[in-house]
Amino acid sequence: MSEQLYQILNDLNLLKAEAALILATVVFLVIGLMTSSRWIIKLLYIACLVTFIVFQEGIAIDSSLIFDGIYKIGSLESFYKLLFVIFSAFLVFYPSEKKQGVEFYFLLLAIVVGSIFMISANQLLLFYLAIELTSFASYLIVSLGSGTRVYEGSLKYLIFGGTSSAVMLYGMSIIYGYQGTLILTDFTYFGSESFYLFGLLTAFAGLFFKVSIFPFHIWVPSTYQEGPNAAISLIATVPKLSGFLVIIHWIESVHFLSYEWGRPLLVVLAASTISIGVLVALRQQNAKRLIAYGAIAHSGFLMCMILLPNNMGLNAFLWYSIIYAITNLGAFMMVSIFESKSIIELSDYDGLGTKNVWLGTIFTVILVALIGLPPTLGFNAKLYMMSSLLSYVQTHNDIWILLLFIITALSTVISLFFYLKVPYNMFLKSSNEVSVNISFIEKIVATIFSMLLLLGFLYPDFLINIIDNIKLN
Amino acid sequence: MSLISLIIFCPLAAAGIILCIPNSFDKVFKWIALFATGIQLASSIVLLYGFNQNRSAASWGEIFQYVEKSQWILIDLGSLGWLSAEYHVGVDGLSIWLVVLSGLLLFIGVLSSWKVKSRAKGYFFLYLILSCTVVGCFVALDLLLFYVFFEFMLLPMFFLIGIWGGIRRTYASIKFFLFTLLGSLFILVVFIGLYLSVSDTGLSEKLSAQTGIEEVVHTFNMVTILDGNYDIDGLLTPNGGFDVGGMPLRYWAFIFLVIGFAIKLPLVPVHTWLPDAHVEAPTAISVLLAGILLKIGGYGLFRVAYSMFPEGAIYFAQHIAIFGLVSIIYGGMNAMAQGDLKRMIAYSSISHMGFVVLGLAALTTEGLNGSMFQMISHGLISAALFLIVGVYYDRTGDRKIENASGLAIRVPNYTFFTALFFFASLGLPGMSGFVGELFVLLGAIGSENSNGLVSSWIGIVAVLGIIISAAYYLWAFQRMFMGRFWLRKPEWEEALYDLTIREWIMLLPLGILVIFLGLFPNVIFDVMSETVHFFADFVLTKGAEYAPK
Repeated sequence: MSEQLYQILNDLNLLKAEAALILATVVFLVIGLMTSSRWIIKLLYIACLVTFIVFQEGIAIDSSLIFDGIYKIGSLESFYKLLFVIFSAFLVFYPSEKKQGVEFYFLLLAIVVGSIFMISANQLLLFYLAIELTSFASYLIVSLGSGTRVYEGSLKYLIFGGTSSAVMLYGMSIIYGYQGTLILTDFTYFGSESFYLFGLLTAFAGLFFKVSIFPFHIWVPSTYQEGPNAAISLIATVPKLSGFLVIIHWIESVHFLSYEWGRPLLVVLAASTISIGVLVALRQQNAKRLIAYGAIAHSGFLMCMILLPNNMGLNAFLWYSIIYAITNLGAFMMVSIFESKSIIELSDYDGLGTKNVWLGTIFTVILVALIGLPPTLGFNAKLYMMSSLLSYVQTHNDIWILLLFIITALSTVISLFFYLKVPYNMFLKSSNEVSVNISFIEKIVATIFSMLLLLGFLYPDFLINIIDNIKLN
Repeated sequence: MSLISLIIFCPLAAAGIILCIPNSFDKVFKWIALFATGIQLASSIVLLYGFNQNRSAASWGEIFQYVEKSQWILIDLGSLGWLSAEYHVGVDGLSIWLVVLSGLLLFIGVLSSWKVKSRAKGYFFLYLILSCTVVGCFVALDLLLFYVFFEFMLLPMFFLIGIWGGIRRTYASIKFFLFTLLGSLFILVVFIGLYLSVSDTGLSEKLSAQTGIEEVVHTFNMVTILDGNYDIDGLLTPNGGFDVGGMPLRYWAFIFLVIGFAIKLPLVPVHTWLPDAHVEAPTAISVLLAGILLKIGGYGLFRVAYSMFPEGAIYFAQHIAIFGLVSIIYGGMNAMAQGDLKRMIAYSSISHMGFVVLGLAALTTEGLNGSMFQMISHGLISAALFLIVGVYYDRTGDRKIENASGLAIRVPNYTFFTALFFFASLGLPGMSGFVGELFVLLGAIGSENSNGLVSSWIGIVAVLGIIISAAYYLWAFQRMFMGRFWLRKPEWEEALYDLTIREWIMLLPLGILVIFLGLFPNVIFDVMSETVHFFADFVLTKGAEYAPK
């Protein structure tokens, strides 16, 4: 008994960064309610995130399971946790909207905490709690948007999200029934029992909903369009990436790819997600919706690397996910900067480039990275992804993956067409030649995003070193 | 800093300087651009002067001179092995002239943009980035580096046409971007396949010694690929056994590369972006487009498609020659039908670039020499022709052939240069256009009896192309410059004056070079002969070796 207690205390020590973040979040809410100064709130928010970084012991951590196997730590998890925390710190630099008091930042922190627990969860119950924490915080924060149709977006999100959670829980309970354990790493390959497979697929459907894989992507456009920008850019990156990490973990645990239909199914989902994303984006007239459909397509691209065997796809996935997060944070920041000057539809961007050359250039760089063209990091991401797909074809002679490869190549041409609409309107049209005045600090942060994308391409060593330090098991 | 890096990055540095200078000093920008491209020109001439043309070589590694090499990307991709890309540049007999040509045309291009007033900062900034990328393309010896330069060219070009172009500029720029991006994706796919099939043994051993486990380093290094360091089970390994649709994957890869570069070249039927882009682009950009950018397509065929997939080059020789022939005839016929002078010259470009493809397809020494010479010569002549159109357009704002006649009376110097370049382009003996086309035709007609790749009739029919080009040039000249002086609108008459000193400086060197190279073509041939011989031998022997068994 005392030995067990000792073990738990010992494990708690490994959890001190997460504990500190939760504690800081609670303190933040209490202090935040007593002040109305936006500056203090933002500073406290940063302080909470810094607390986590201070207590987190780098990323060179050996993989192990703690608390009787319900919590997974390792360098991959630590890396993503740090990444999430650093990315969410950037959100304070977004132009503020009306209803962003202390509760707004509290909900942001809740999303981050939920995501952190999601990627470490090795037990179905803990996982469900984490994903629900993220989801509930997301539902609430979307309704804090200032748009006219914000309730449509948030309600859509709530209903779809609630349903998918219920379906996922149902699937998880079936899995538990068959496996007899809640610990993911203890799962065994269970064969093709049809009810078990039904449970498996419903559980995965819930996960696909969180990472907006076709056909569970329908909530994305209106939610992204109506939600507050800072929150949306967090939802589009942090919970999404942690969702993908969970999917990687689950695929491995339930031996999903051992089913002969497993990989073709994921290929079809990835291919249709990419196609739907890029094709529907072609018709968009609203900048945020355009980025939203683009983000759906990027979910499909991320999926491409997940369906490969781990040792082939995971490295490319690391690159793609980091670059995806940088580009999307940058893109949403630019959109929200323009939106705060009521430039919302694509046609509102006409001619803006003449007076705002710098902003236009930054935005162009970010969009070029989203397309995946050199000289930006977006190209590296695309290159590694395509290499890993083609090398799988080379070793396994798999026609499905070859098809997927062709779709990823073609979708790049299509995505050029819609992403380029923004710089096209900004620089090549001339009707709305007003200058957009933004604060110095916003300009600096936006510049940092685009410079990261350019310099990271020219001097990749920095990122290479970081990624080499992540010990993949 | 080494010479080639200076040529590549000098304009980039200048672009950085331009970025830092406020808009109000708009007179400075063109001087900075002129200075930077001047350095490019001067150092490319120094490069040519120091180039050892007698160096004979036994392998690709020995061909390249002025080689600079340093590691750029080296990352571990798990079980894919390592990915290695290098900053690896150098020149050989094929690329050296193209570098010099780019230096010259980029310099002249700045002169012809002297009157750009609106948003001069952006214009020269993009122009300098373009200058960096086109030269980079010709000297890159790493596929990834090549691709990056190749692709990064599109963005500045898109904005240069889209912002400073003519009335339908937006349509033309989007069309240009989409076509060439589609082409470059075909190329990228093959590049990824190539890199996965080739490994750098030296680097692999070095890394294995460091980490203690056996590592495989796949590389984008062109020289490693050209020297044939294929893995046994690579996707694009010769005779590797990968078939798709009943054809070896390497043939598909060759077709992909040809499509990709043919779009850039451009070859009929993927040429449709070119007339639009040319007509809408500002004069200087047309000059660069015709003079340099099209050559990147030809150079890519030489450097990548033909050298790396020689068996494809042999297998598809006849088909490619026929596409060349179709371009020659179809381009010429279209040129004849045009009422717009610039459009006519754009179509004549398609026709003349067809000769490049025809000479290359024949794979005889004459044909290859002619093909390379045609690229240089067409670079000079088409650039000059677009400048000529630009001169007239600057004054009248019109380019229609039917809207003027008898110009020779009012602007004799202008007429002189127009006649000179028209004749050079239609292949009058004594000028550079003649030499290139003659050698291409010699090679194409002689191929059947020497290596048996291309039927003689193709070369014989291609002679028609020269007659057609004589027809449209002479006809256009007769309509615009001969007869009674007349202009459609009276106000143009006041605006019409003869060449200024700036225009003389642009046109005179091109005129002298066109005649000089026509009289002494050996200047060009001598420098590249070793490389061309090696290239021809390499493609023929390796083509036989790599052919599917």
